Amino acid sequence: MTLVEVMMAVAVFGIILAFTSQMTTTSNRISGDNFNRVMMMELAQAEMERVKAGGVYGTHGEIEYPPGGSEQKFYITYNRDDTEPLYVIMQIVVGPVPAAPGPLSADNPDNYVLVSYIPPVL
Amino acid sequence: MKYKLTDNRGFTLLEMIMTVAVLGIFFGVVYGFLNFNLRFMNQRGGEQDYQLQGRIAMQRLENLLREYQSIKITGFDVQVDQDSPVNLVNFNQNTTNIAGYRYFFFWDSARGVGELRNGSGATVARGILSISFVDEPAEGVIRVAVKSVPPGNPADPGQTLSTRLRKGRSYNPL
Repeated sequence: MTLVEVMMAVAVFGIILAFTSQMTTTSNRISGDNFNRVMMMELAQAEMERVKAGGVYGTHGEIEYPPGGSEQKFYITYNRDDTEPLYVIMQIVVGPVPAAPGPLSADNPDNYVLVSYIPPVL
Repeated sequence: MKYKLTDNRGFTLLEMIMTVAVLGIFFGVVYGFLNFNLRFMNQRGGEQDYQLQGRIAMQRLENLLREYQSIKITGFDVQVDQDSPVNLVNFNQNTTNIAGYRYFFFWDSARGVGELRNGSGATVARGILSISFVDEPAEGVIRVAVKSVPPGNPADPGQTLSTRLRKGRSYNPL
């Protein structure tokens, strides 16, 4: 067996190891990311329901998930558009807790954005 | 390079044994590594499955309760809030009265885990450890929580999904 043949065998073995390792890492990352996304989505919807029901809200701050529990912390930002006299457009942005407190950007792909039209009273 | 095609000496027994031993070690390492990865991926697949079951249960309940203008909780029943209340969800795990409910929580005491079932008794989501509805009168909402766990492992921390739903959909505070 020549040195080239040994090196080729080692390379193939390395490719197999790298491939399986990459699959595991990707699977792990997707799973964790999906669950975070689900939590952020539920949190945004829960807050939108609370606001529509007349709940008090601020501009931005930390928030717990599940609501009323304390398992995990996220950050939330409330933006409202009052330009129309008859209705309000409410935007809620939920994302990971930032290093420095401040409103979350709706353009950041790490954040979940929920916008809802709040109709006029009939 | 010239090859001796006429060389037919073959291999000695010692060479064969060494070759088999080296190949055995090599494939043993490969098998161990692949087996570890596959077990890990199967575990991840299981986690995704029970997370999905929790989401299915939550989505079904949310979609149902959003159909009604006004809802309330009475005991373990989620009802349409009107003069003659209509039962929608029974989330009491010890109930046997399931007639007329759109969804109910079925508890499998043998497995130590429950299911969300629809009015005809078909399973909607399995691996559900608990479903709860809590009235938050100060906020005008009902807090809904669904906890799902891996099949066969009720002691697992599992996943808790939680949201809020307005009790009345005709009220606009803004």
